[in-house]
Order: sequence, then structure tokens, then C-alpha cells
Amino acid sequence: MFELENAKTTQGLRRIAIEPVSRVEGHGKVTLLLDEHNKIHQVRLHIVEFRGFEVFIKGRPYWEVPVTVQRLCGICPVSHQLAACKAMDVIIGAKQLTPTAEKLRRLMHYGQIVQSNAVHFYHLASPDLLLGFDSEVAQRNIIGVALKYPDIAKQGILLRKYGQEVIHHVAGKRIHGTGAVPGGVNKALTKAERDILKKNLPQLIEWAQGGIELVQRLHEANPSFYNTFGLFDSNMMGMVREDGALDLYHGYLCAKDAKGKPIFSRLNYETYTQVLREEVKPWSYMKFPYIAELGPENGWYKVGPLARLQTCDFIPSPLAEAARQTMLSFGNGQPIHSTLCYHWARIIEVLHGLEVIQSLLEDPDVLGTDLTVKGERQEEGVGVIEAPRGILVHHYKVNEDDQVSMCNLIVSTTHNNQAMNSAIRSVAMQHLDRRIISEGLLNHIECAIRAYDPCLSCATHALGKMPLQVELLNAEGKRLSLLSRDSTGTLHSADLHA
Amino acid sequence: MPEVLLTAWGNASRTDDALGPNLLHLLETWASSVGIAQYFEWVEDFQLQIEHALYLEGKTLALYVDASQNISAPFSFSLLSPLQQPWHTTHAMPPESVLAVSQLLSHSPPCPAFLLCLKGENFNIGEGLSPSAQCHLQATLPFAQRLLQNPSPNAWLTFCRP
Repeated sequence: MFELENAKTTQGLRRIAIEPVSRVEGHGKVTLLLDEHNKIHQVRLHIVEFRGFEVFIKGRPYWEVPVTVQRLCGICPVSHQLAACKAMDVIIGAKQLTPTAEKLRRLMHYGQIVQSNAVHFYHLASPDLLLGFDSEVAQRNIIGVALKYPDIAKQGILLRKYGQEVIHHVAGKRIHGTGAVPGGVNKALTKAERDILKKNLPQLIEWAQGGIELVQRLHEANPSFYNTFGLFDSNMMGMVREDGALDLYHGYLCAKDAKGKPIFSRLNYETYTQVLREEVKPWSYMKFPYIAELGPENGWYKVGPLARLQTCDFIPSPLAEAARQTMLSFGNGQPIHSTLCYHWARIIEVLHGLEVIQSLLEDPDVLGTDLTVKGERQEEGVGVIEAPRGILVHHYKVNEDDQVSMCNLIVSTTHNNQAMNSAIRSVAMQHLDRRIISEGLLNHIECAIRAYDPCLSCATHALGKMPLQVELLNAEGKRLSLLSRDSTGTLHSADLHA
Repeated sequence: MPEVLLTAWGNASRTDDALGPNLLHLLETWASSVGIAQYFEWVEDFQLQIEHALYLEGKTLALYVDASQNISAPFSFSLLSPLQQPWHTTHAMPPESVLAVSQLLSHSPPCPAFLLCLKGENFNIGEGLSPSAQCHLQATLPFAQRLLQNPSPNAWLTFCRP
């Protein structure tokens, strides 16, 4: 049981709801239970949407899946497409893509990282960071930033636009493109397109470096706040290459504990079902994953920029690695767990993404035309990718008629479920407990969630697997009976009359 | 850099919502064939967002092309004015808000901007225009070509129609 997850009693407690949580993708809400002295007894992040993809994808031909699953999300469709394609590569026996296909997929993916991380940092997070967590709410948005810091806002908009242009040229469209297919890609990059993408890269890299310097200055200006806001210790998970380098497209799963000690370091992601479990709680539509051998109490972890920049041994691009070393030096030899450092890590990844794109555009393979391969047909495939928000798992089984018979998705935000709940509980105790609650203070809670850049519409339970709970209360609010459905669909009832 | 901006938006998977982008494609093909495409910046998207304000930098004239149910067939053409709205709370912005963002960022009025709306009837999920939208598209094309042949605010003001 986690502290502040369940109040000992709800009687006499006042409920505050932040609904919807703003400047995040999808819909969620936070509830707080407080007593008459504003002492906080319970804090929860609830996910109030559900998705149906695991169900309605069944029976569809496997080659449709990479296109269909993009509709899970308007923010990171490329990540879903690529994770599905990687799983379908296995299904069609494409063990090794052509160099052109793999490099074009990487180009697409790092374009996605740049655009998604830029939109989060500049559009969604910078209003809090630059204008203040409790600044005037009507100004606390990207337009407010544009008015006060026009150059920063413009750079953010153009960085995002560049990431979208990379996706557009490689995938055919900025959103819901069809560039990646099982076994490779279906569109070659022309020299003219390559040259367009190369054109402004030095300027963009300079702006990303400016973004990193900005975050560093913010941390240096108020270290006690930045180092402690939403602070909690946890395990961390990310994807790395064989040599320990950060790799956002393909590699091994690597997990470390809160002190940086390895839990596992080169795990083949196809074995994820042996290592990860998901716990269901009746008050949220989002599951709670954990490392099986450590159990739900101790095995939960965080993913995403701050986690993966600390699970890897190095970033394989020089400017971003130098920036990572600077960030890590703020931990004085210990892993960094401050929630606001997610922003720092995220903008470092923008720089890394641009460096990778620059390197790929210099590679003659990206102009090749050998685009697809196939091999011996398999029945089951797992694809894992580091989406902007963290590890994304797609797992499918396909029957002999080429129809999907099983689909399981663990999206990035789901991995961060317990971490986000821990962050808001930490913030509630630090900034809200026993104080008069104001909008600005409630925004502190949202800032903690926002730091994880959650995609709540992706991260919900599959249709039919939502735990539900119905309570019958009497006029005094006393519970008379309870009916609940667990994640397997089994109903449980408890008549409390007796 | 081209001084005239042409921006069309809509979702090709929402039937007649694709009218704007479809007209832009026809116009671009035609403009290339008559050798004037380079005088225009061509922008297509699903929705308008704040980044579209950046396209207005250095422009002397802008045309926004959309589909609408609430106009007379086959199209309407009108002058736009900047309008501040709580745009940051929504996924999509109207062109008037894009102009307002441009004004905020540049501290000066945006260039004259016009809205060309094509009449659509079916905005349900599905690909391909409805038959009536096809007719409206063909009926609008000569008018839009005339706009591109006369790219000046004064000329476009005389073309306005409800």
C-alpha cells in the first residue's frame, strides 16, 4: 500500500478534483481528500478514458495494423506505427531490414522525438517554467510565453515544425503517414527531400543547445525548488544498445534501481512477459506495471527521458552526451530523481535527435531504394520502441489466415503510472498540505504530472478490461453494498447490510 | 521568398472536410502548369495551430481555404480580421485567431487575409468528396484561379461575396 493512495476513512473529508488535467494529451483527473485543517489524506491520478484497440484489432489482417494503431494517438502516431511494424517484421520473418529501410525508420522516429519533445517543452511546460507555477492563469500558455519571450517561443515552434517535416518527408504525411510497413518502408527519400531537411539543421541544433542552457539556468537559479519538487526514489527503465549507448529505436531493456544499481541490463524485449506484470486498481482505468521479481510494492519504475538518460551508459552523439554529463553532475554522483529534471532530459533528447538526424542525412544509405525484405512466417511478434514518453510495447499473434488473434499494448504512460501518482503525492505534501488551496497551488500538482508528458488517451485499459466499482450509499453516505468487476471481467459483490 | 500565402486545412478522412486541401492541390497543379506556382507559399494541414502564424511573416497577402456547412453553395469569399479568442484551450484555431497570434508576435497588424470557404455537406468519416462537394469544388476552381492571377488586396476586396 502506498502512502496517500487510500485514506483511512473518507468520512468528514473534503474532496477537491482537478478535472481535466490541462496541457497533457488526453483526459485525466486528480482527486485530493483533505480534512478541516487542509491536511491531505489521499491523492490519486485517475484516468477516465478507455481505448478499444486490443479488442477491435482482432480479426483484422496483420498488414493493416501499423496503419490502424497510429490512431491510438495524434501526438506520437509514428511511435505506434514503428512499434507495430517491428512486431510485424517478426511475423513476416524479416529478421534484418535493409540498411535503407532501417535508417529511414530511424529518421522518422528521431523526427518524432524532436517534434514531440519540442511541443512538450516549449508549448506545454515552458509556461510554468518561464512564467511561474502560480502565475496569472490566463497568461500561462504558449501565447503568454510568446509575448514575454518571443524568441524562445518561436524557436520551440520551429523545432517542432522541423520534426514534423522530417516525418512528412519520410512517412509521406506529418500525421498518420504510411511510410513504415512490415519488412521495411514503402517510400524512398529523394535527394531533394534530403537536401531540404539538411538545410537548417545547424540553426536548429543551436536552438536546442539554447533550450538546454535555459533549463540549466532555471535549475541553478532555484536549486532547492528544482531539486526537491515532486521528489521520490524509484527504479528506472530504458532501452540501450549492446554497448550501453542510448538507442531510441532498437535495443535491449535495461533497468536500474534508485541508486543506479542494475536490476537487469541487456534484456531481450521479446521476453517482457516473463519480467513485467501489471497490477489493476479499482479507482483507475490505467494499469500499474512492475518488475515481477520485485513485486508491485518495490518493482514499479519510471520510464521516459530522465529514466533512459540514466539507464544508458552514454548518448552516442557528442553534443547531447556533453549536455547529459552536465545534467548528471547536478546529482553529485547519485541518480537524479527530481521530477522537474524530466524537462532537462527531454530537451537534451531534442538535441540528440537533431544530431542523429544530421548523421543519417549524411549517410548515402538513406537515399537507397532497396526498401523491404521478408522471410519465414511466424505466429507471434513483439515490437518495442522508446517513444517520446518512454518504452512502448506492441505484442501480436497472427493466425494462419493472416488475421490478428491477440494484441497486447503497454504504452509509455502506463509504465509511469505509479511514478506520476508518487510525484503528485510528493508535491501535495510539499506544497499543499495544511495550506489554503489556490489555483496556483493546484497547478503544482498538474506540473508534476505534466513533467512526465503523459499521453492519457493512449494509456488506458482496453475495452472490456476496465475495473469498475459501484457503491450503494445510504443518505448518510454509509456504504451499504459494493459491486466490482476486476480486470478479467469477473464480478464480485459484497453485501454490507449484515 | 513568396509574398503570398495559401493555406488550406481539412481532414481527408472526413469526406467533405477535404475540400480545402483538394482545391489547393488543383490550384498548385494549375499554377505550376502556367508557371506561377513559385509566387505562392503552399501550406496544407489538418487543423490551424499557432505555428501557422509564423507563415505570415514577410507576407503581403494571405488566402485561407476551408470547407463549411454554413454558407451558400458553392463558396463564399470574405476578408478576415484578427480576433483574440481563448485559442490555447483548443486543438484547432480559426484563421482569425491565427492572425491575432501573428499580430501579438510581430507587434504589427498581419497582412490582408481572406477566407475562401467551399460548401460541404457530409463531414462524416469516409474518404472522397460527396457528389455535391465535387460540384462545388469544380465551381470554385475558376474563381480561385482568378484570385491567383490577381494577387493584390484591392483586387480581392472586389471579389468578396457572402
